[in-house]
Amino acid sequence: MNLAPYVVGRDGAFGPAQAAYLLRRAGFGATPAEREQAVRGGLEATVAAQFTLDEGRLATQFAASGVQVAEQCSGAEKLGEELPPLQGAWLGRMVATRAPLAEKLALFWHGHFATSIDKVQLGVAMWQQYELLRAQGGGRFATLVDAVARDPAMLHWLDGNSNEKTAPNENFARELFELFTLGIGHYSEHDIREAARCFTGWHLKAGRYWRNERAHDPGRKRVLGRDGLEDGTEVVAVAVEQPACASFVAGKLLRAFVTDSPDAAAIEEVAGALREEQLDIGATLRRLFASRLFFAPPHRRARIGGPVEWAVGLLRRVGGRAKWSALGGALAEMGQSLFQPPNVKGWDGGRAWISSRTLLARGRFAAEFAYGGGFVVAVDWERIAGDAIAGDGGALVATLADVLLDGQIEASTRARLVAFADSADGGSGAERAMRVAQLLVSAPEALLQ
Amino acid sequence: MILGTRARSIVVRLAGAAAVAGALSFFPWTAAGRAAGPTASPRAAFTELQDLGVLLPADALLIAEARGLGPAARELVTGAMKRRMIALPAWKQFKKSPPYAQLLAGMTFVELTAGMPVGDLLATLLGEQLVVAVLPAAEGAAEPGLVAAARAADADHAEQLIRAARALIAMSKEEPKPGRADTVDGIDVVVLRDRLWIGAVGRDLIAASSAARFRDLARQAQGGGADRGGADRDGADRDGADHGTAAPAALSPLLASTRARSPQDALLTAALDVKRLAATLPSGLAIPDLQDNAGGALLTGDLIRLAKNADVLRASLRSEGDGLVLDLAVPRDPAAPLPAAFRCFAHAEAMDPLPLLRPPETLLTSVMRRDWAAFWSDHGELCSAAAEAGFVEAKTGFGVLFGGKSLPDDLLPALDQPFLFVLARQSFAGIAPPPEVRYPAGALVWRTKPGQAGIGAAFESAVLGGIALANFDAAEKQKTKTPYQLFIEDHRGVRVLGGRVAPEAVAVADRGALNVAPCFAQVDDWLIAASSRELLTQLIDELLERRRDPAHGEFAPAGALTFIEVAGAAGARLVAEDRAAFISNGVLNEGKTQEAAEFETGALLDLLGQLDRARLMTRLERDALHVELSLCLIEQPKPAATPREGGP
Repeated sequence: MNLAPYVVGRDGAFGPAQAAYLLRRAGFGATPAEREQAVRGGLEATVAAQFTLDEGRLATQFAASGVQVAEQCSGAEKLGEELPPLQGAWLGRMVATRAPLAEKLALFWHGHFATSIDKVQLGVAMWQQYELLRAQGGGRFATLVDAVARDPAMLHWLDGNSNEKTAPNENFARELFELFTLGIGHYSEHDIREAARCFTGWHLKAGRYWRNERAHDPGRKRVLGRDGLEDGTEVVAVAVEQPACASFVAGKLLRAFVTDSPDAAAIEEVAGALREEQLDIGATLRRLFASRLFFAPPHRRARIGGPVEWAVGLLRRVGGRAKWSALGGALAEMGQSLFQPPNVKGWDGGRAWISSRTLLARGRFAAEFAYGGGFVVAVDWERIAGDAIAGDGGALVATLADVLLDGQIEASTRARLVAFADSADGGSGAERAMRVAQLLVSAPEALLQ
Repeated sequence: MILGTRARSIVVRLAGAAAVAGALSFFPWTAAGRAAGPTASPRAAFTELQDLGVLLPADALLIAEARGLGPAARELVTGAMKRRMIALPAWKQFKKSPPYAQLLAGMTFVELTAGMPVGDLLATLLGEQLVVAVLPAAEGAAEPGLVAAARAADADHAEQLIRAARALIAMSKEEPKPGRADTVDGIDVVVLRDRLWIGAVGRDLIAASSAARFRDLARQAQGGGADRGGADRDGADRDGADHGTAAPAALSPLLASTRARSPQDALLTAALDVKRLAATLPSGLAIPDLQDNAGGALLTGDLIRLAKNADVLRASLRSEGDGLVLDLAVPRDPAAPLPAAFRCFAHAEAMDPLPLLRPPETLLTSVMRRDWAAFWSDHGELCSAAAEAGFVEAKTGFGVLFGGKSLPDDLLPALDQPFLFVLARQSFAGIAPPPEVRYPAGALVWRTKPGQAGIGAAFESAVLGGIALANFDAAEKQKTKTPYQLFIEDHRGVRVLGGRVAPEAVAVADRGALNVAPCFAQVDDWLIAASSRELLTQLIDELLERRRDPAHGEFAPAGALTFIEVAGAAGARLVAEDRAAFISNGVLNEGKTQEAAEFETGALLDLLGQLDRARLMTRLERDALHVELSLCLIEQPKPAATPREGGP
């Protein structure tokens, strides 16, 4: 199992199941029509398209709304009112976009460079950080880290704004090594202290990055074995050059896009690709999405999707709409509040998404998704189910499972749903479709991406 | 009829020509319909009532009478109002949407069903004269009764509607059917869900909530049952021309007194017999004497007390220029004034002039006449214990802001009755760029009692104290809040003080702060607290003009106790400036599509653009307290005169 290209025919097919899997991981899932289009286009073209798609007018409008809301979002007492629409603007954009990989990458990096509005208290800075992650998330990692280091939200979050030569603040330097580039064990306390000196004077003025020369320590420092460093930019460059950096990022990419439990060999495969591509995230992902490693059967439906992926995916599949601001609150109940990661490590992901509390919240969302009328605008199930609305239980379950779960449900689950749909409890017409849809998206299979 | 032709083509597209052709066989005025439809009952000759008002029973709880609503509705659908509407950008956008096609199809269906254009249908249904009465529930019945009558232009229209309704019910696939056809005393009727019997007597459409009531109503409508032979079934009396006219019968006292007290030109009048209604309710009128909400008590305390004690409440609707005025009259006995505890409503001073302020770009101007000190001292007799906490909180809060001065003992007794509140759009002249989302500026204006102008100094210190508190808050949130810079300036000899943020100092996420500059000024005995320097300056100018010429400026109509007026033009400009924010709110918070949010914002903009003013006023007259709601549209430009061609 390696990053060698997946050759259609020799290594397997590129049919609806493979296309659905690719579009789930590189985006938020696909409608049957999008799956068919991907199959017609072939693997290579489908992968390439993920990096070149235009997001479309509707998503752009959500982005404009986000900017506007963010500019009004300041001060702790206002965050209660303004954070939901800020989250809503991003969620709306995720659902509306024709270029889901850009949003998926922004979401991934939001968890990686986890920054919370709770401390930043500046909606506009949080939105700017999101736009930065979205714009540069598929580019060179070194460039991204350097931009994040100067990002106003990050300067608030890890106290860069109060990092002065007379009293260096080590918070950013520590997380730069531990959480952003290398991981524990690949740096020393001395490296942190020296790196912190390099970042002194990286301050904010009128809400923008500003190097405060009076606060900057101009002396020469030794960081990660390299002598003569003066500024934070050099620290970032040295950190991403470390061999451990590629492995660290590779593990993160695999957990986000392939499997919750990547093995060491897979990590080294991807780390090697990253090095070959000079830590260009987009180029590496292109290779990953078209690789035998990616399409290995054990990886399909083997990753627990986060609440945002799950809910956004469902809404995209049915062309759904929501009171986007309220949707953010529902996702927080499920354990993922956008712009509010729980701590500097971000969301743990994987099995941590599932708890008795978050499962109940997902159940509530499933009911809301199926029936609408609250924060989800009622879905037109008659349109989605088509002729199957009047068909037997088997036809209805097959149609809805195809739309909502790419048709991939266990035989036992399917049999129980069919029996329910054919029973008196199943109801009739749109009501029956709603009930079946609720059960489908509540099924264990729906949690797996 | 271009509209109808287009609409029919859509119906044909939607439903299919065969379906429409099939459906037409149900419509009785078509040849097929006449052949297939139910047999019309014989039309009896009778004497038409001169006045439908005599049909309203004397024991009615509520009566309503309309004259000329039919033509008004026709005008709405086909006249100047339609021309006004179709000229709006939002309408042009609506015309491109699927709901417009549905509307056209629906209108065509209505036209086909009723056999007349929609305008004519509305005119028929609303009639030359329309009367309605709600009656006490009959013994054993849970719901109140109802009788109604509308006079159509001619008997054909009236009969046609009943036939069409019967045909529609026959066609309905709904189960159980929404109604049934029946005959009462030889009159074809439609019975809707066994709750409403509707039939035609000559050119009068009559309706009642039971068969018995319908029978009585029909007999009265036929002039007390006068039958002039009944031989002429379909011929000479079809147009109603040879109906006799019945001698006038007695009107119910409620209707007679309502007519006597209502404007002659009223489109609609209504009267509620409060005493009779209270007698029919198991626990009478459950309106509490004391209100939980102090603001509500201050605004409506006198109105509710008078209404509760009234015998009859009357309302009328009349047109006035390009607008409508709805007037609710709550009677009062000038010989029996309100209780002493109600002196805060200042009825005794109602005829004194009540000034209004109208700066440029006014969105809302309002004035209220109240005796503030009396309200504080008597609030225990107007408000419930639930409101008491608010009074305590206000006393403490004002004490802090006003340097220890007591709200009930020092401040309120110094204030005269008028209290004005103004909202105006801001131009943000000199602020580049202006805030992304623009808020209107607001101002509170009080007048001091003679010899009490010195209280202005306490207001000045309160404004400065408030700004200091806001700056303290900003200091705690350095990166998100912009502190106010204090200023004390002179404007035409008037000292102006307050705080404002410097545009270059505004925090990145605090551009909204440019909307607010709390400030204060005193012009003679007028105290003005405003949220923007621009509005304060405008109000000072207006009050200086009043100083120069006491007759300058506007006053609320005589007798006004509360006056609130909203102006459409400035509102439209504000919505246009904040259009993006309105759309974002619709999409993000209300789950609308971008297109829907854009359309609704555009429609709001159009509606405000058409609105000249909306006004709500309470006004005291000798024997009634009136609540008047008026809406006035902007004047339409007169269509250009067509040049007269030469020739004979």
